[in-house]
Amino acid sequence: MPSRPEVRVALFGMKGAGKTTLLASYFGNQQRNAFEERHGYRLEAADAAQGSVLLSRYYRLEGGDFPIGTDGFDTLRFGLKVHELPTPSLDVVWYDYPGGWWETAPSDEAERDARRKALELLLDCHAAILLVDSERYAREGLTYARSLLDQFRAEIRRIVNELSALGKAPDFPEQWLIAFSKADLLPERTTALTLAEELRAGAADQLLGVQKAVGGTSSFGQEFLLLSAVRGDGRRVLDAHQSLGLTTIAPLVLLGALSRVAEKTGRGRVWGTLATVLDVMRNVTDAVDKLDDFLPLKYRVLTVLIKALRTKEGLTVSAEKLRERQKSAAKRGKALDAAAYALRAELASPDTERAYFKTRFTDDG
Amino acid sequence: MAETLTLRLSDVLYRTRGHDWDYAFLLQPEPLLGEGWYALHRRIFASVEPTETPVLLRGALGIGLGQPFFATAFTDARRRDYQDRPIAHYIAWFGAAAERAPGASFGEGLVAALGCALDSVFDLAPEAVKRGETKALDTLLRARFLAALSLTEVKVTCEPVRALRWLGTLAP
Repeated sequence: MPSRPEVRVALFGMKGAGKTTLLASYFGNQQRNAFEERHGYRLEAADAAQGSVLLSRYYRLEGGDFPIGTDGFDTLRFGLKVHELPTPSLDVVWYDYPGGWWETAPSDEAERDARRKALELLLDCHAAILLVDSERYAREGLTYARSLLDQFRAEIRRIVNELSALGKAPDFPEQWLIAFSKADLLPERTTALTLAEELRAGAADQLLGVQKAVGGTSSFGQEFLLLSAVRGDGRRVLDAHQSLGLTTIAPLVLLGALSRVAEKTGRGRVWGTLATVLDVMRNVTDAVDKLDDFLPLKYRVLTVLIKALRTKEGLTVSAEKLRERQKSAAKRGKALDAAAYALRAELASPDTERAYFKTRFTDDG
Repeated sequence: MAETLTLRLSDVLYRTRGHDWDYAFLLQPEPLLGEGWYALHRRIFASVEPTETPVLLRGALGIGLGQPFFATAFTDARRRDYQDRPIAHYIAWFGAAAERAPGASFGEGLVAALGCALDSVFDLAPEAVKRGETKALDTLLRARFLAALSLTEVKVTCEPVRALRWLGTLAP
């Protein structure tokens, strides 16, 4: 059991989908003084050498260049440290699953072993993200989306076979976000809602195929997110400080867990824009005390944080008010409350409304 | 003062990528461990971000009596991948000659000497290489690269450098 709560997220995307840039931007932007001043927290890399590599990639972004393609599976652990508190309140752990693994067989037994170890970590995740490359989607449309989903289903089946061979049940995360990376290349009017509608209409069979592959109870094909690491033109970075959606991932994972509690306690299906989802969550607060009864074991490390995330007034308070409460909690030494307010403030950001949508689950798929 | 180093290619572990294919080993010494080179390569180059200026690393793998290496990683000034990003070269040189070699940046000269063989595989489409084959892409690319290579050793003239990272002995 980790000493503090940690949100574990697996990141899937084909090579070139923008994983390296996302992670460099996620860490790098949160090192900036301007970010810390505005948000009242920052990220610390648990491994200083790894932090240094991410920062060098981020400086490259600031210089206008995208980072070089990376090689291999990485675990990246970040501590979220709220102002005035001496240590991080929670960890956000990313598992970066190489896109090249979809396309090539391992070069030797050592790589095969590295892949097996990565799969075991994958099962421990609270949420998984499949990246859809917006640049390719804008160019190739649903043909690309269908092909990506079919290839991903094949990769999931391969993973299931590998796990079965290891005698492990393929217990994938329940929460899956389909995230459109490089969202800065999409037209401004595009929202997570419009993309969700396009995919649900034009790639329904493929979505259902992956959902079945990762386990019928998963949210695959229901949660959509726009992600942008920078503003660029596809070849050059125009502004490394303009990102979208990255800081909402950790709170969305907690919100996803709360949604499941709402569903399991009979408070109805949770779907809609972020504002709607947050509103529905107000009805769940009385069930939060019994979280452990409704959440799978691997989520229990998060229950303290989820309890801190909810308050009687619901989740729809403004970002400014939440940041004031974050400061006040930090001054009182309430580390988890401070972190929960910091995460809630990210959800209250106006950009997030455009960036997130959860579709209604329908029995006909 | 410029140094001339002689590298036996059978002592060199070389990993890079092509325009479309992902990272692959194009040169591999006889494996030190039955499992192959992948994990050792990852250990040597952990937390190394290649840049235009080569990063130089010295150390040893803790296998048997110790396996000294002299390694370098850098980005290519000319070759770029399908997303127009520079590609990286990861080179680890093993054996007594590597241990004795002075601290000089040998990587760019080595890649220049291997240039014709690299160019012969660089633009290959992965699907075309794999068509009708059952072996891993990495193996197929290496076979084509070696077929285009007429050398067994390379002489590289290089300038001494000051910045050299000592990694100590790395556990396998």
